[in-house]
Amino acid sequence: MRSNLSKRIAIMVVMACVAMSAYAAESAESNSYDAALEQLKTLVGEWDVKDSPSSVTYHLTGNGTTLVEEFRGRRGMASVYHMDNGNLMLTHYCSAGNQPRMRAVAYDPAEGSVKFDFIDVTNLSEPSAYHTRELEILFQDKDHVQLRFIGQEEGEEVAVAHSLVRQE
Amino acid sequence: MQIRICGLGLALMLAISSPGWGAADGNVPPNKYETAFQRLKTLVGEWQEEDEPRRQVTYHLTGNGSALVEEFRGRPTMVSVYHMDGEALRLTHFCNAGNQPRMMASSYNPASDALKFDFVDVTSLSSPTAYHTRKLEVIFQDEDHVQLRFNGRKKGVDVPGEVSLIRRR
Repeated sequence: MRSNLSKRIAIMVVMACVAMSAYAAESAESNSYDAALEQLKTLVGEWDVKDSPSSVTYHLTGNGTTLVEEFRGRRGMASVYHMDNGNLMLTHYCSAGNQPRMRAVAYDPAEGSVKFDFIDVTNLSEPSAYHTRELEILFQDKDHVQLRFIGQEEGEEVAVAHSLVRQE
Repeated sequence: MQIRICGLGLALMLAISSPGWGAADGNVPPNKYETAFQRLKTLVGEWQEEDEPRRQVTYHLTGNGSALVEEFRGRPTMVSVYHMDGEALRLTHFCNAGNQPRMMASSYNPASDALKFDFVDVTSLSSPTAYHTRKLEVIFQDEDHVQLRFNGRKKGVDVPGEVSLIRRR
Protein backbone atom coordinates (compact mmCIF):
# COMPACT_ATOMS: atom_id res chain seq x y z
CA MET A 1 0.00 0.00 0.00
CA ARG A 2 2.72 2.44 1.07
CA SER A 3 4.88 1.36 -1.89
CA ASN A 4 1.99 2.13 -4.32
CA LEU A 5 1.52 5.58 -2.80
CA SER A 6 5.25 6.31 -3.09
CA LYS A 7 5.21 5.24 -6.75
CA ARG A 8 2.23 7.51 -7.44
CA ILE A 9 3.90 10.46 -5.76
CA ALA A 10 7.13 9.80 -7.66
CA ILE A 11 5.24 9.68 -10.99
CA MET A 12 3.41 12.93 -10.17
CA VAL A 13 6.69 14.65 -9.27
CA VAL A 14 8.31 13.48 -12.53
CA MET A 15 5.28 14.68 -14.56
CA ALA A 16 5.34 18.06 -12.82
CA CYS A 17 9.07 18.41 -13.54
CA VAL A 18 8.54 17.53 -17.22
CA ALA A 19 5.69 20.06 -17.52
CA MET A 20 7.73 22.76 -15.78
CA SER A 21 10.80 22.19 -17.96
CA ALA A 22 8.64 22.23 -21.13
CA TYR A 23 7.05 25.51 -19.99
CA ALA A 24 10.48 26.92 -19.11
CA ALA A 25 11.88 25.92 -22.51
CA GLU A 26 8.93 27.48 -24.34
CA SER A 27 9.15 30.59 -22.22
CA ALA A 28 12.92 30.86 -22.79
CA GLU A 29 12.39 30.53 -26.55
CA SER A 30 9.72 33.28 -26.49
CA ASN A 31 12.02 35.50 -24.46
CA SER A 32 14.81 34.71 -26.87
CA TYR A 33 12.81 36.08 -29.80
CA ASP A 34 11.73 39.09 -27.76
CA ALA A 35 15.45 39.71 -27.26
CA ALA A 36 16.01 39.24 -31.00
CA LEU A 37 13.40 41.92 -31.78
CA GLU A 38 15.04 44.22 -29.22
CA GLN A 39 18.39 43.71 -30.97
CA LEU A 40 16.74 44.40 -34.35
CA LYS A 41 15.37 47.65 -32.92
CA THR A 42 18.94 48.85 -32.32
CA LEU A 43 19.16 49.19 -36.13
CA VAL A 44 16.87 52.26 -36.06
CA GLY A 45 18.51 54.96 -38.16
CA GLU A 46 19.95 55.56 -41.61
CA TRP A 47 22.28 53.11 -43.38
CA ASP A 48 24.28 52.91 -46.59
CA VAL A 49 24.46 49.74 -48.63
CA LYS A 50 28.09 48.84 -49.41
CA ASP A 51 28.88 48.85 -53.15
CA SER A 52 25.40 50.16 -54.00
CA PRO A 53 23.74 53.56 -54.42
CA SER A 54 20.80 52.33 -52.29
CA SER A 55 20.21 53.41 -48.72
CA VAL A 56 18.22 51.78 -45.96
CA THR A 57 16.20 53.25 -43.12
CA TYR A 58 14.94 51.48 -40.02
CA HIS A 59 12.20 53.03 -37.93
CA LEU A 60 9.58 51.97 -35.42
CA THR A 61 5.82 52.10 -35.82
CA GLY A 62 2.75 50.48 -34.21
CA ASN A 63 3.49 52.17 -30.88
CA GLY A 64 7.00 50.68 -30.88
CA THR A 65 5.83 47.11 -31.55
CA THR A 66 6.95 46.99 -35.18
CA LEU A 67 10.23 47.67 -36.99
CA VAL A 68 10.10 48.87 -40.60
CA GLU A 69 13.17 48.29 -42.79
CA GLU A 70 13.06 50.19 -46.04
CA PHE A 71 15.48 49.95 -48.97
CA ARG A 72 15.28 53.15 -50.97
CA GLY A 73 16.67 53.20 -54.47
CA ARG A 74 15.64 52.38 -57.98
CA ARG A 75 13.20 49.55 -57.19
CA GLY A 76 12.71 49.78 -53.45
CA MET A 77 11.67 47.08 -51.01
CA ALA A 78 10.58 46.90 -47.39
CA SER A 79 10.38 44.37 -44.58
CA VAL A 80 8.28 44.70 -41.45
CA TYR A 81 9.30 42.84 -38.26
CA HIS A 82 7.07 42.18 -35.25
CA MET A 83 6.25 39.62 -32.57
CA ASP A 84 3.38 37.15 -32.86
CA ASN A 85 2.76 35.66 -29.42
CA GLY A 86 6.31 34.53 -28.76
CA ASN A 87 7.31 34.20 -32.41
CA LEU A 88 9.24 36.83 -34.34
CA MET A 89 7.81 37.38 -37.83
CA LEU A 90 8.49 39.47 -40.88
CA THR A 91 6.67 40.33 -44.06
CA HIS A 92 8.95 41.16 -46.96
CA TYR A 93 7.48 43.54 -49.58
CA CYS A 94 9.82 42.44 -52.31
CA SER A 95 10.88 44.29 -55.44
CA ALA A 96 9.91 41.04 -57.22
CA GLY A 97 6.29 42.11 -56.53
CA ASN A 98 5.42 39.33 -54.07
CA GLN A 99 5.23 39.32 -50.27
CA PRO A 100 6.74 36.33 -48.43
CA ARG A 101 6.20 36.03 -44.69
CA MET A 102 8.91 34.44 -42.57
CA ARG A 103 9.32 33.36 -38.94
CA ALA A 104 12.50 33.42 -36.84
CA VAL A 105 13.83 29.89 -36.33
CA ALA A 106 17.12 30.66 -34.58
CA TYR A 107 18.67 33.48 -32.58
CA ASP A 108 22.22 33.38 -31.31
CA PRO A 109 22.91 36.44 -29.14
CA ALA A 110 26.60 35.49 -28.73
CA GLU A 111 27.18 35.37 -32.47
CA GLY A 112 24.67 38.16 -33.10
CA SER A 113 22.62 36.35 -35.73
CA VAL A 114 18.93 35.77 -36.32
CA LYS A 115 17.58 33.40 -38.98
CA PHE A 116 14.14 33.47 -40.60
CA ASP A 117 12.42 30.73 -42.60
CA PHE A 118 9.55 30.87 -45.08
CA ILE A 119 5.91 30.61 -43.89
CA ASP A 120 3.84 31.61 -46.94
CA VAL A 121 3.69 34.13 -49.77
CA THR A 122 1.09 36.36 -51.45
CA ASN A 123 1.01 37.55 -55.07
CA LEU A 124 3.34 34.86 -56.39
CA SER A 125 2.77 34.97 -60.15
CA GLU A 126 3.50 31.23 -60.47
CA PRO A 127 4.96 28.57 -58.14
CA SER A 128 8.39 28.72 -59.80
CA ALA A 129 8.62 32.55 -59.75
CA TYR A 130 11.38 34.17 -57.71
CA HIS A 131 10.56 34.68 -54.06
CA THR A 132 12.67 35.04 -50.91
CA ARG A 133 12.51 32.04 -48.57
CA GLU A 134 15.18 32.70 -45.95
CA LEU A 135 16.86 35.65 -44.32
CA GLU A 136 19.83 35.72 -41.98
CA ILE A 137 20.79 38.94 -40.19
CA LEU A 138 24.33 39.15 -38.85
CA PHE A 139 25.01 41.97 -36.39
CA GLN A 140 28.74 42.59 -36.85
CA ASP A 141 28.98 45.64 -34.61
CA LYS A 142 26.71 48.59 -33.87
CA ASP A 143 27.54 50.21 -37.21
CA HIS A 144 27.75 47.14 -39.46
CA VAL A 145 25.13 44.55 -40.27
CA GLN A 146 24.77 42.01 -43.05
CA LEU A 147 21.50 40.76 -44.52
CA ARG A 148 21.70 37.43 -46.35
CA PHE A 149 18.65 36.64 -48.43
CA ILE A 150 18.09 33.22 -49.98
CA GLY A 151 15.42 33.06 -52.66
CA GLN A 152 14.20 30.43 -55.04
CA GLU A 153 13.49 30.66 -58.75
CA GLU A 154 12.54 27.70 -60.92
CA GLY A 155 13.65 25.36 -58.14
CA GLU A 156 17.14 26.90 -57.90
CA GLU A 157 18.47 28.77 -54.87
CA VAL A 158 19.40 32.41 -55.40
CA ALA A 159 21.56 33.99 -52.69
CA VAL A 160 21.96 37.76 -52.25
CA ALA A 161 23.84 39.53 -49.44
CA HIS A 162 23.72 43.22 -48.51
CA SER A 163 26.30 44.75 -46.19
CA LEU A 164 25.00 47.83 -44.41
CA VAL A 165 27.08 50.59 -42.82
CA ARG A 166 25.46 53.09 -40.50
CA GLN A 167 25.50 56.66 -41.82
CA GLU A 168 27.46 59.09 -39.68
CA MET B 1 -33.16 34.48 -92.58
CA GLN B 2 -34.37 36.49 -89.58
CA ILE B 3 -33.26 33.68 -87.29
CA ARG B 4 -29.79 33.63 -88.94
CA ILE B 5 -29.36 37.42 -88.44
CA CYS B 6 -30.47 37.09 -84.81
CA GLY B 7 -27.99 34.21 -84.36
CA LEU B 8 -25.15 36.25 -85.85
CA GLY B 9 -26.05 39.23 -83.68
CA LEU B 10 -26.11 37.03 -80.57
CA ALA B 11 -22.74 35.46 -81.47
CA LEU B 12 -21.22 38.94 -81.99
CA MET B 13 -22.60 40.18 -78.66
CA LEU B 14 -21.23 37.12 -76.86
CA ALA B 15 -17.83 37.60 -78.51
CA ILE B 16 -17.69 41.27 -77.49
CA SER B 17 -18.78 40.60 -73.94
CA SER B 18 -16.50 37.59 -73.40
CA PRO B 19 -13.52 38.13 -71.06
CA GLY B 20 -11.08 37.48 -73.88
CA TRP B 21 -12.36 40.41 -75.98
CA GLY B 22 -9.54 42.80 -76.62
CA ALA B 23 -6.99 40.34 -75.27
CA ALA B 24 -5.41 39.76 -78.68
CA ASP B 25 -3.68 43.16 -78.53
CA GLY B 26 -2.88 42.80 -74.84
CA ASN B 27 -5.48 45.37 -73.74
CA VAL B 28 -7.17 43.16 -71.16
CA PRO B 29 -9.27 45.38 -68.90
CA PRO B 30 -7.95 45.24 -65.33
CA ASN B 31 -10.13 43.62 -62.70
CA LYS B 32 -11.93 45.99 -60.35
CA TYR B 33 -9.48 45.51 -57.50
CA GLU B 34 -6.52 46.26 -59.76
CA THR B 35 -8.38 49.48 -60.64
CA ALA B 36 -8.95 50.12 -56.93
CA PHE B 37 -5.24 49.60 -56.23
CA GLN B 38 -4.34 52.09 -58.96
CA ARG B 39 -6.79 54.52 -57.32
CA LEU B 40 -5.09 53.99 -53.94
CA LYS B 41 -1.73 54.77 -55.54
CA THR B 42 -2.99 58.27 -56.40
CA LEU B 43 -2.72 58.97 -52.65
CA VAL B 44 1.10 59.03 -52.86
CA GLY B 45 2.29 62.20 -51.12
CA GLU B 46 2.00 64.04 -47.83
CA TRP B 47 -1.28 64.39 -45.92
CA GLN B 48 -2.48 65.66 -42.58
CA GLU B 49 -5.51 65.05 -40.44
CA GLU B 50 -8.15 67.69 -41.07
CA ASP B 51 -8.84 68.24 -37.34
CA GLU B 52 -5.26 67.80 -36.15
CA PRO B 53 -2.65 69.19 -38.60
CA ARG B 54 0.23 67.96 -36.42
CA ARG B 55 -0.78 64.38 -37.17
CA GLN B 56 0.71 63.66 -40.56
CA VAL B 57 0.30 60.77 -42.92
CA THR B 58 2.50 59.78 -45.84
CA TYR B 59 1.79 57.43 -48.71
CA HIS B 60 4.66 56.04 -50.74
CA LEU B 61 5.40 53.07 -52.97
CA THR B 62 7.83 50.24 -52.33
CA GLY B 63 8.47 46.77 -53.76
CA ASN B 64 9.13 48.17 -57.24
CA GLY B 65 5.72 49.88 -57.20
CA SER B 66 3.86 46.72 -56.11
CA ALA B 67 3.06 47.88 -52.56
CA LEU B 68 1.64 51.13 -51.15
CA VAL B 69 2.77 52.12 -47.65
CA GLU B 70 0.45 54.35 -45.59
CA GLU B 71 2.20 55.74 -42.54
CA PHE B 72 0.69 57.68 -39.64
CA ARG B 73 3.41 59.71 -37.94
CA GLY B 74 3.01 61.45 -34.62
CA ARG B 75 0.67 59.89 -32.11
CA PRO B 76 -0.43 57.22 -32.72
CA THR B 77 2.12 55.75 -35.12
CA MET B 78 0.90 53.01 -37.39
CA VAL B 79 1.42 51.64 -40.86
CA SER B 80 -0.76 49.85 -43.40
CA VAL B 81 0.63 48.22 -46.53
CA TYR B 82 -1.66 47.61 -49.51
CA HIS B 83 -0.82 45.22 -52.36
CA MET B 84 -2.35 42.88 -54.90
CA ASP B 85 -2.50 39.11 -54.36
CA GLY B 86 -3.44 37.75 -57.77
CA GLU B 87 -6.81 39.42 -58.41
CA ALA B 88 -7.40 40.21 -54.73
CA LEU B 89 -6.40 43.46 -53.02
CA ARG B 90 -5.01 43.01 -49.54
CA LEU B 91 -3.67 45.08 -46.69
CA THR B 92 -1.81 44.44 -43.47
CA HIS B 93 -2.40 46.99 -40.74
CA PHE B 94 0.54 47.29 -38.31
CA CYS B 95 -1.60 48.80 -35.59
CA ASN B 96 -0.62 50.92 -32.61
CA ALA B 97 -2.63 48.39 -30.58
CA GLY B 98 0.34 46.06 -31.15
CA ASN B 99 -1.40 43.56 -33.41
CA GLN B 100 -1.43 43.15 -37.18
CA PRO B 101 -4.80 42.41 -38.78
CA ARG B 102 -4.80 41.43 -42.46
CA MET B 103 -7.79 42.45 -44.58
CA MET B 104 -8.98 41.85 -48.13
CA ALA B 105 -10.97 44.22 -50.35
CA SER B 106 -14.61 43.10 -50.43
CA SER B 107 -16.10 45.84 -52.61
CA TYR B 108 -15.08 48.77 -54.78
CA ASN B 109 -17.55 51.19 -56.27
CA PRO B 110 -15.86 53.51 -58.80
CA ALA B 111 -19.03 55.66 -58.95
CA SER B 112 -19.03 56.46 -55.24
CA ASP B 113 -15.24 56.04 -55.12
CA ALA B 114 -15.43 53.88 -52.00
CA LEU B 115 -13.33 50.83 -51.25
CA LYS B 116 -14.14 48.39 -48.45
CA PHE B 117 -11.86 45.86 -46.75
CA ASP B 118 -12.90 43.00 -44.49
CA PHE B 119 -10.97 41.04 -41.89
CA VAL B 120 -8.96 37.95 -42.91
CA ASP B 121 -6.79 37.12 -39.87
CA VAL B 122 -4.59 38.72 -37.23
CA THR B 123 -1.18 38.16 -35.65
CA SER B 124 -0.01 39.10 -32.15
CA LEU B 125 -3.51 39.37 -30.68
CA SER B 126 -2.97 39.26 -26.91
CA SER B 127 -6.40 37.68 -26.26
CA PRO B 128 -9.42 36.89 -28.47
CA THR B 129 -11.30 39.85 -26.98
CA ALA B 130 -8.45 42.37 -27.35
CA TYR B 131 -9.01 45.37 -29.59
CA HIS B 132 -8.21 44.81 -33.26
CA THR B 133 -9.33 46.47 -36.46
CA ARG B 134 -11.67 44.32 -38.58
CA LYS B 135 -12.88 46.63 -41.34
CA LEU B 136 -11.68 49.63 -43.28
CA GLU B 137 -13.48 51.82 -45.77
CA VAL B 138 -11.48 54.27 -47.91
CA ILE B 139 -13.66 57.05 -49.33
CA PHE B 140 -12.01 59.19 -52.01
CA GLN B 141 -13.79 62.55 -51.78
CA ASP B 142 -11.65 64.40 -54.32
CA GLU B 143 -7.95 64.52 -55.25
CA ASP B 144 -7.07 66.30 -51.99
CA HIS B 145 -9.52 64.77 -49.52
CA VAL B 146 -9.90 61.20 -48.39
CA GLN B 147 -11.65 59.62 -45.46
CA LEU B 148 -10.62 56.42 -43.69
CA ARG B 149 -13.34 54.70 -41.68
CA PHE B 150 -12.09 51.97 -39.37
CA ASN B 151 -14.18 49.47 -37.52
CA GLY B 152 -12.54 47.55 -34.72
CA ARG B 153 -13.78 45.16 -32.07
CA LYS B 154 -13.06 44.96 -28.35
CA LYS B 155 -14.70 42.47 -25.99
CA GLY B 156 -17.26 41.65 -28.70
CA VAL B 157 -18.33 45.28 -29.14
CA ASP B 158 -17.79 47.24 -32.38
CA VAL B 159 -15.49 50.26 -32.05
CA PRO B 160 -15.83 52.62 -35.02
CA GLY B 161 -13.37 55.39 -35.84
CA GLU B 162 -12.71 57.71 -38.73
CA VAL B 163 -9.97 60.00 -39.95
CA SER B 164 -10.36 62.73 -42.57
CA LEU B 165 -7.16 63.51 -44.45
CA ILE B 166 -6.30 66.58 -46.48
CA ARG B 167 -3.35 66.69 -48.90
CA ARG B 168 -0.46 68.95 -47.87
CA ARG B 169 0.60 71.49 -50.47
